[in-house]
Amino acid sequence: MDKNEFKERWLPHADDFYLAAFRILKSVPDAKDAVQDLYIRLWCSRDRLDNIGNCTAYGMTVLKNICIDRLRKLHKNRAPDLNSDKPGEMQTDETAEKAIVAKERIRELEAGIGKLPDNQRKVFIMRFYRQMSYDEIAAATGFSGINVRVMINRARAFLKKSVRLY
Amino acid sequence: MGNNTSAEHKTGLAEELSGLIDRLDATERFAAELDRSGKGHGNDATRRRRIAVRLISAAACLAVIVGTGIALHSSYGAPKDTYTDPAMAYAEAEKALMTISEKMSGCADRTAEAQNTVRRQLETIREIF
Repeated sequence: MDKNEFKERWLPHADDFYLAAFRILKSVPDAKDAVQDLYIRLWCSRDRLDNIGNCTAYGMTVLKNICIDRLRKLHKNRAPDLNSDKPGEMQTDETAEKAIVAKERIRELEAGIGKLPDNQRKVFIMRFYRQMSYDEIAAATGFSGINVRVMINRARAFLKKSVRLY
Repeated sequence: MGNNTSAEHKTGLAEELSGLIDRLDATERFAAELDRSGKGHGNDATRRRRIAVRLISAAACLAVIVGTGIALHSSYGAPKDTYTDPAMAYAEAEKALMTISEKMSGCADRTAEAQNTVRRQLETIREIF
């Protein structure tokens, strides 16, 4: 499943997930964090989600477990009496670990990108984040095609040395 | 908190999540590109080090081989003043022996002369005493 298919399938349910998280956690920032965690986990396991019939139901199950974990961490003994061990639950420790690694990778890479010179950073973001071709980047920035390639290679070499992507 | 506050925060959420997915995707693709180009972090330095070690090893082997060859050549080099032709070698050996013989025969004559002189002197002394 590529990025656009994933967005098309899962983003429409974001509001429902947010409301459910808010009802459990009673806090706007916590509810947003919980929903972000949910989407990171869904992204990390997207290859296994093709057969999910009811996205809302599946997402709510995962979200509920995320919220319970957060409450347990915050309040230790005051977790609500909810069953988190449903059969067929696809969320495992492995997926939670992948989600943590994914968040760390984003943080590391963006810290590295922040250290690039302005032109290299701009061109790098266009290439990797907005998936623009070299010609499109050249047209948008006014740099020559060769210059764009050189800048991306330099940015890549710098990030390769300075960023650990596990 | 009331529904109004949660409703306000709902509106920006889809855009934020869309941006998050873009970042996750970009990071994954960059990490995959790093893996393809050389199995991650610091591989270039490892490769350069490996090439340098191989070059130095090859140079060391070459130095040992050349040094051994030079040493063997010095120890067992062909001696000077030799002949490969047996006939020439025999002729030169004969010439050398003739030279020695000539020198020695001159010495032998002088030795005989000296002996005669000594004998005469001894006879003279015997006659006196």
